[in-house]
Amino acid sequence: MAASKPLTHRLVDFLASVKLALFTLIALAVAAVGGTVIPQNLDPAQYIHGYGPRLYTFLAYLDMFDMYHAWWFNVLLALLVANLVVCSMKRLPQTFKLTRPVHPDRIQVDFLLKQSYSHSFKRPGRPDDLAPGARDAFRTGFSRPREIETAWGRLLWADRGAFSRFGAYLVHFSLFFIIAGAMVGGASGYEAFLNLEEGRTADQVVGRRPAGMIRLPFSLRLDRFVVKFYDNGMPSEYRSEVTVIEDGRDVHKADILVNHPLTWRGVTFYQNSYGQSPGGRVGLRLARLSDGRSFDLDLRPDIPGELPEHGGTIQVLEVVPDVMKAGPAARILVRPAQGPAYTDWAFEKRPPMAKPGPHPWRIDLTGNQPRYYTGLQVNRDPGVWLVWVGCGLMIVGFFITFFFAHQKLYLGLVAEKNRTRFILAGSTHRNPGSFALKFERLAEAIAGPAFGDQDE
Amino acid sequence: MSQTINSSLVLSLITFAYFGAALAYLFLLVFKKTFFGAVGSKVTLVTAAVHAAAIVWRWIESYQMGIGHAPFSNLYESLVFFAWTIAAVYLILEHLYKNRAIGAFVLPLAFLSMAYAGMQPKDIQPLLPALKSNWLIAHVITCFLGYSGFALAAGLGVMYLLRRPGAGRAARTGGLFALLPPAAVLDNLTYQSIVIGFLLLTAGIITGAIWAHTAWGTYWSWDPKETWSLITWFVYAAVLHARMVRGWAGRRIAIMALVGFGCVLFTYFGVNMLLPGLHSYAR
Repeated sequence: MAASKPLTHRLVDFLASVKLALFTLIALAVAAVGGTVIPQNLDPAQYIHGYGPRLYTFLAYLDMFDMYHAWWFNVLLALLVANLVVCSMKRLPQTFKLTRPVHPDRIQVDFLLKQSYSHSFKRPGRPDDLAPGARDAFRTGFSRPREIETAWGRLLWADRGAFSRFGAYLVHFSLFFIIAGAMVGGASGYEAFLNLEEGRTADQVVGRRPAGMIRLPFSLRLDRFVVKFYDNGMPSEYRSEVTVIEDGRDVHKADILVNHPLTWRGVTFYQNSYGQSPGGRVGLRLARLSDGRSFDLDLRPDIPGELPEHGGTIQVLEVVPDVMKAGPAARILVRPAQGPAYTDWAFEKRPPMAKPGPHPWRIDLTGNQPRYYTGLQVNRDPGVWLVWVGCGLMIVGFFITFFFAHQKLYLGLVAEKNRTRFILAGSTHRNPGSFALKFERLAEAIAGPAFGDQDE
Repeated sequence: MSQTINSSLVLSLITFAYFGAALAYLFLLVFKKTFFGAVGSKVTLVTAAVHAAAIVWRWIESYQMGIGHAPFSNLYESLVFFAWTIAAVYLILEHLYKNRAIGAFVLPLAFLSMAYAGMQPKDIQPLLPALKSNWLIAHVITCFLGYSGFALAAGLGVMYLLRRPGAGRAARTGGLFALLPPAAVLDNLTYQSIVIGFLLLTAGIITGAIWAHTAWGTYWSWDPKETWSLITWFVYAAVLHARMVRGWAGRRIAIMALVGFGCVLFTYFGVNMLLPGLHSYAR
């Protein structure tokens, strides 16, 4: 049988199969585990040291050191996408068919009794008299019904939530968006970096992926870089104050902080690192209060220095141009060899009202030439909006898939002598529990207080 | 540090309260006296309320120290929050299904999480610049609510496997198992918990991606924690497909709930201990 099918059909069947889905999912998961066990994107020397030259050659041949960008990993992702697309296209017509209402001609008494939920009872009166009350109960308990007169009696029916059959397609479709967004970003975007000294202007950045210099459609000047520390020495803020320049004019001023990037003409700048340009130093003079003997320290602002005579460490937390109208001052963190750490200010010209710190030194600022450079990550990713659209669609798709169901409800009214036989029937394609409850309540509402005298 | 009463002291006492609640629920299973169930339920409710207050208190303490931030910034704080979400989600379940026997399988997880938190450094530290983001708060809350959904599913899975120990064997209904919900109810609850957990894990991964994008410029960088959360997501996605497309139910789903929770635990703890990466501040 299978062999007689044309090759294209067999290919479609293969691409649409659950087997392929399971294979790609498991393969992706196993590969992903591998990528977390083997550290990615280190120096070759580190790998050779860790794995030895032979294993290194083998793993490098398989691209295991940049595995998530390896061709075979991308083939697996492409296979997953192909699987989703073909599988969806194959099943979609069938799903459309299921969302269409059943033709009334097919709805006979037998059909109603065969539904997964079915309840039948008799009440005195003619269908014409009982129908309005039943119709109201139907509408309040479920949805406004359509109504026809058939050969066997009167039929009311409605369905709700047909759209929920498409929730799973929406989820699969959203994955397609996310992967497409990643591919667009990879193909036409770039990741680059820029180290910029205070006062300097740059109009090109250094590409990492793809490698090479990239020219910006504008220039960026770093006006000032500020790094602040908490009292315990942990960094609290990195801030690059920049100006965007177009055609020689300053067009935009902005602060770039971690978690607060700047986007200009599709290019985004992220605060990534910083450093001191050579020569940027803070000079401190420590004069011992007891004998006036002094020591000069030459510190880099971010690195603690040794206090004389193993007295502990001293670190410059920030240099501020003006403190208490006394001119430049450095906030310093002292960790004495004994006793708790504390912060203090060191002034170029110590104002008389400044209280001395709790230490045996008078500390003055002697030299202050900090010259920072900022390290900015520079990205252009025209595909990222596709990724966010995909994420939004996925959440919507999950809500539709998990919290809605396609429910169908029928009510037949059949005249029998001076009584009417009610047949309430229904089905749901998901969440039978909540539907059963709704069905029971509706049966109660239509049957009235005497609900329970089931008639088979 | 100081001997005054602070939120960490209250949180250590809460650890014992959860132990007491777990014990009460266990006594309910063994002695079948509704009294124990009522005690377990009351203790859990009061403890969870105090627990929530203590988390808010810790939040306020951080502002009093001048380094105010939401208490979701290190392993201690995340474990404390995880324990609270387990207790809160359990209380909702107890209220909806009026079955207290489930507590014997869920409250121990809240206790263990608090006990493990007790071994971590508890100081309130200032926030690194990278952690100053509202997306971080959304990320942590959604992830841990999701984890608690999976924890609940695992507890329910264990109950299911106790109730139906073998594929061919009849359900156990007597002895310790008398008060457990019927197997069909357990099966449905396990599935529902996985659905809730999966939805929240998805939201957690997405909010994490948005945060990473604003902080580092990449929404996905294949760091081990990200990768393991994706693996966990794959596993639960497979479970849901198996149920919805292939009709898996019962023992298979119960076992998969345990396998999935194993992945959750590895994502949460194993990655930090064994693999290096960007999430290192969560140590």
